[in-house]
Amino acid sequence: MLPKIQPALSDYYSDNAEPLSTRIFESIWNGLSNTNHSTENDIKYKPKILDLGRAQPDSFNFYSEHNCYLTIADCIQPLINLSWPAGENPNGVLMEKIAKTISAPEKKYDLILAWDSLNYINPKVLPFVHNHLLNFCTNKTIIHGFVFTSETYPTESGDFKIIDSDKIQHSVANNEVIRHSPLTPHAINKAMPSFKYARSVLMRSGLQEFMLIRK
Amino acid sequence: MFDINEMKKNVSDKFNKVTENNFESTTNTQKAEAPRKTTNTAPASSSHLASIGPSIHFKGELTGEEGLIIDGKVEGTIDLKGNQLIVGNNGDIKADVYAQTIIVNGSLTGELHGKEKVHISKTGKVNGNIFSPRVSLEDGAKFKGSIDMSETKHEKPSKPQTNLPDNQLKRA
Repeated sequence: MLPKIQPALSDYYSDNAEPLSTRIFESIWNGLSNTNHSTENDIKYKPKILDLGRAQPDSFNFYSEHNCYLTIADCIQPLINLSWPAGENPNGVLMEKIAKTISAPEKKYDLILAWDSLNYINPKVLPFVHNHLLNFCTNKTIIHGFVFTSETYPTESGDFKIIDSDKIQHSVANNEVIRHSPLTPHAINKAMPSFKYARSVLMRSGLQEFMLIRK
Repeated sequence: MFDINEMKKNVSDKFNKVTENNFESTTNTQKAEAPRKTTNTAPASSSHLASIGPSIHFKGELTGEEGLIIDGKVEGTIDLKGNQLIVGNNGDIKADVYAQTIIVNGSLTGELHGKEKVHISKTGKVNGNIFSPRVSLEDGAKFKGSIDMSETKHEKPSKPQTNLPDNQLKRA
């Protein structure tokens, strides 16, 4: 059990009504929406997005405007709750549990949103999550993520609202924090070896934006 | 197969009978009762819609050509063609739904095909895929599944029409 400390990060959370300036997400989004689908009718390509987080009204409006195919997996908390199974064949048991947790149509997605989530997942479980996510990947799929890399960070994974492609608002349910060595984007990438580390931007108060691209 | 129009006619006939009886008893006793309070979870504009109450549990294919509010349990398929479906706060649906607009205040598991719009209110809980050009979600609404906003798949695929008996159909 990780030690709980409070209060902390109060400056950040009292101030978090102001949206984050998300340079990497903006560049990914521009890249996806400018991709033309090479069909006979020359229809503009609709990006396919798998969001591991909860459904957010503002994000819906954003995707609605861009007419894309979106899957809300809403699986972060169940993934965080997964621990290493006891008994025989733990790998098989774990893979089965993850497959039930991340239930999405058998499609290949251009973008997987893993916002403030991968660093909360048990590091031993994360490679299995990676293996399951490969079912939904093309050879160009991008994982976009946010992680806290500061010494203290919220006890629970937060919510994100897309305001525009360059602005995303982050909020947490409470101000409780834990002091723990978090997984950095590089450590996450080590647990997800089928992706290569592409870019990372350190944002205020230790929140780090990063992207991984399928090798 | 279940037809809303038929159901509504039956309900209407029963209602008229009950009203007549009530009128008789009221005139006999010269005593008028105050109208009973009812819980209405649907918006005011939905007063003209047909409704399925909280105590009703229906399994099968539900079709109709008018708007419908469901506060009970429905399992199977719901096809309202170009009309509105409102799932009330108590509504619990496990069905694929085809309608013009779909408003979810209760619980719905299945595919939602909204020709015009799908709206999930703050009390709504949807587990399934949405096919509609417009999708909106209120703060607090729960949704797990996919959203396809392309212009296809909003109408229920029709069964092949044939008058051939089963045995001839098999041979064909």
